[in-house]
Amino acid sequence: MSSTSAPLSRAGGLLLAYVHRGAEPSSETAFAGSLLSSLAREIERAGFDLLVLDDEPRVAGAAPRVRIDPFTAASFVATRTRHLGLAVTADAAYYEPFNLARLTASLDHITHGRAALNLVHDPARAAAVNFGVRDRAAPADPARHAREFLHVVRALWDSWEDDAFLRDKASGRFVDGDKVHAIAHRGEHFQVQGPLNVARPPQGQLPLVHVERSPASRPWAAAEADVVVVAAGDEGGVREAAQSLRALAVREGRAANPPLALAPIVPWVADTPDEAQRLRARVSARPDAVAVIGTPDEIAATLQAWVVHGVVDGFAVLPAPEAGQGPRFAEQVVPALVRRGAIGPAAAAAAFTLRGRLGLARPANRHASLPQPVNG
Amino acid sequence: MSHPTRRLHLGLMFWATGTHAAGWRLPDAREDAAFDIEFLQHVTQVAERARFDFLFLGDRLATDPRLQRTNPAQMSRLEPFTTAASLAAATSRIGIVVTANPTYYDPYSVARLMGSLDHVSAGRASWNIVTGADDIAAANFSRTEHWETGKRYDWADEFVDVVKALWDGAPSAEAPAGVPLDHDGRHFRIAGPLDVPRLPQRHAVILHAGTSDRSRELGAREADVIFAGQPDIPSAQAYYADIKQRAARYGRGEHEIAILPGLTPIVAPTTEEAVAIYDRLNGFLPLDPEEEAGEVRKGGLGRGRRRNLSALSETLGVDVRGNDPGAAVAPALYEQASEAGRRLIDETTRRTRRSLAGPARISYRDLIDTAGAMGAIVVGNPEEVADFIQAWFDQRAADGFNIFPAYVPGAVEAFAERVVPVLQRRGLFRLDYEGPTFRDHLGLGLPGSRRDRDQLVRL
Repeated sequence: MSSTSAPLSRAGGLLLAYVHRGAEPSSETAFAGSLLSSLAREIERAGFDLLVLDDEPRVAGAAPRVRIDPFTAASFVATRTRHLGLAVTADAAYYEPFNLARLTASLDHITHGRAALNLVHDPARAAAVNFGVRDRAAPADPARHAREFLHVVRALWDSWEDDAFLRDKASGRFVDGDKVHAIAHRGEHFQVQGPLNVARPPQGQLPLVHVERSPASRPWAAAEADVVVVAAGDEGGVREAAQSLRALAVREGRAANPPLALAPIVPWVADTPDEAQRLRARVSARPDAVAVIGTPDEIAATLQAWVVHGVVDGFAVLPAPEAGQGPRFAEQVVPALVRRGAIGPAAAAAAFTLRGRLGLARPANRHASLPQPVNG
Repeated sequence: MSHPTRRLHLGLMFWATGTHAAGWRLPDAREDAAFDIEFLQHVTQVAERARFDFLFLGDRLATDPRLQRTNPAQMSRLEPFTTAASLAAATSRIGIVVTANPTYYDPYSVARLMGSLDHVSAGRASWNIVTGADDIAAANFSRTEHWETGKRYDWADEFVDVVKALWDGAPSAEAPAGVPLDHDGRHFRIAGPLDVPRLPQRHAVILHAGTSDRSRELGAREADVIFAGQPDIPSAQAYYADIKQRAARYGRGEHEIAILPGLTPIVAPTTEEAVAIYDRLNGFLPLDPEEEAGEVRKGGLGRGRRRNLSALSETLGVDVRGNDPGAAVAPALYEQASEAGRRLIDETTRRTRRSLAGPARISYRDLIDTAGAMGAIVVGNPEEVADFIQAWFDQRAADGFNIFPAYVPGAVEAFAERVVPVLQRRGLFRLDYEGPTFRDHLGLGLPGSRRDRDQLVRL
């Protein structure tokens, strides 16, 4: 798959993600079901492929955010949306792999195959202050720890073969025990017996999403992720980051299936170029996203050109800190992208699981290729 | 403090194949519902239309395919937190209970998961605290052993304390950045504050079950609802009185803690039809081979109680091995049997309406079936089932029940459509919800902060 013509089921080869990073701490009702539903519906209606529910389990910094747990949010909004992909963020340091495997596999069942996992590891372990347990050592190398964690989770997802359930009323046989597998993992950080007590996720294996905070996590993304939002503050930086990601993926043996690279953007949309510049000038630039400034058609042309020239496979939109910019992107930029053929109409994606939408096949269960028992 | 009217509370336990091991084999029962979220939503909506207090999602942290024999619903199912959020989106009033085991979770995670559920459900979240009965769960969590009871409860006590304190310090209109916790205890060091805004209910409703002394203390101190498992009125009364007395020692009023035993109702328009369903369900269950003398049974998931004449002989105190299981039991057995054996015979008569001497006779197989399910089971027409519930309620053996549907969705619909209206007609059960939150259904106000309550107890 070449990066310029990623066979996205969406058609057009441009993947749109929306990154949600919590709310201002002033409102106690920011996560009422009705508000959350409206937000998710707007994002879906706008034509986004994926909603990334970012997470950092602590209140900190000069501009603290409040949030709700991403699994709760994703599962709730799944009932109010039909085809929006839902990526949940979890830090490997603060979960048990068995619990995370259950949460993610269940979310994939509940969303009918629309779930993705953004597994992170913070080298600074900033949220560790909220997870202090005596007698529990911090991992010496959070990246190694996260890698083993992911390995365990992926093995647990395959505990049940797709045809393990018999549910035969006549004979009373409910399950074929030969098609249920312990994982018996004995590693550096984890000892997990399994099997998982959740049936295999509809997607088989959930897509792995990664939102870079810095280039430091790029080797992880290149080795493991299916969708990567690279960290960069301008177009040159994005180009460089996407190239390095692809080069690293080749080194990991993923030349045929490199991760999709997404540019982080903050769109500044206005009726005239001057007005857009004026809006943008009111706030200071952020280092982790590219400001894309202009009229709806200018912005659409810019985004399309990046994809056509193979810079990236799509965009992760971070809402501008200015009321009304989110809706303007949805109502004006996305239709301009559709007009240009940069993305297909959203309805075309409805029939796919998230993997299908990303152009990824459903993987076979690792146990299914084993020789079957004679009377199995 | 006395409470003007005691109210009956009803919860619904959701097991996708029913709470009877063979519930899924009835022709109309769903056998493939465990991962069908729309079906779970449907069942929850049926319970909500009947004004149930809550839907209950149980949990276990280990599995074994052998569970299919005794408990297929617990073998493989959806994780409860994600399920609960989806059910919240499909309902608007019913409380939603999530089981989470502190032994294998972090307090900050549970505080934010429960808090998040309380937000999306607009105040309907509830945490069922279990400390775990499955030894083999340890092997799924990088542990070499499952902690013994004392250690599990030491940990759980501090865990619950931290969770409630995190809820108290959550960001709110008055304190937008939240109040740091700075907890430095025996097991945990937690800085806080919680990153989830203040909960609509302030504290999620707390449930707990258990019979050990430590469990009763935790429940009496922290829980708003206690699940119980006593099979008959005398034992349930003793448990009920004990919990309410313990709660009083923590300054809690009788109405502040509801005790709800589990109850499996097999209900149909007529008694005969109900007994036929009960018999049919049990008829699906195979008998186990008889044990050799001196054979030692191995425990583990999925074994359950043996269904054979050897096990029955132990219960009866009479050797009945060698009989045809389908044969009628001789009337003389009643005099020979132990006290437990006589209770077993009486219970069998209560469920099946068959007796040792009447026109319809009890078989050995009937006794094996009863012994295999000694929790509270009532078989009958809607009035008979309502009588059973009322008797327990009036005699203070229960404040209500956690209803275990033997098969789904039929047993849920039968109870909701046939028994609930009888309970409402008798003035025992609500005609409509008292308010929008789970705390409202239980008649509980918003909780004071931990600090306030600690001072109250000292006074």
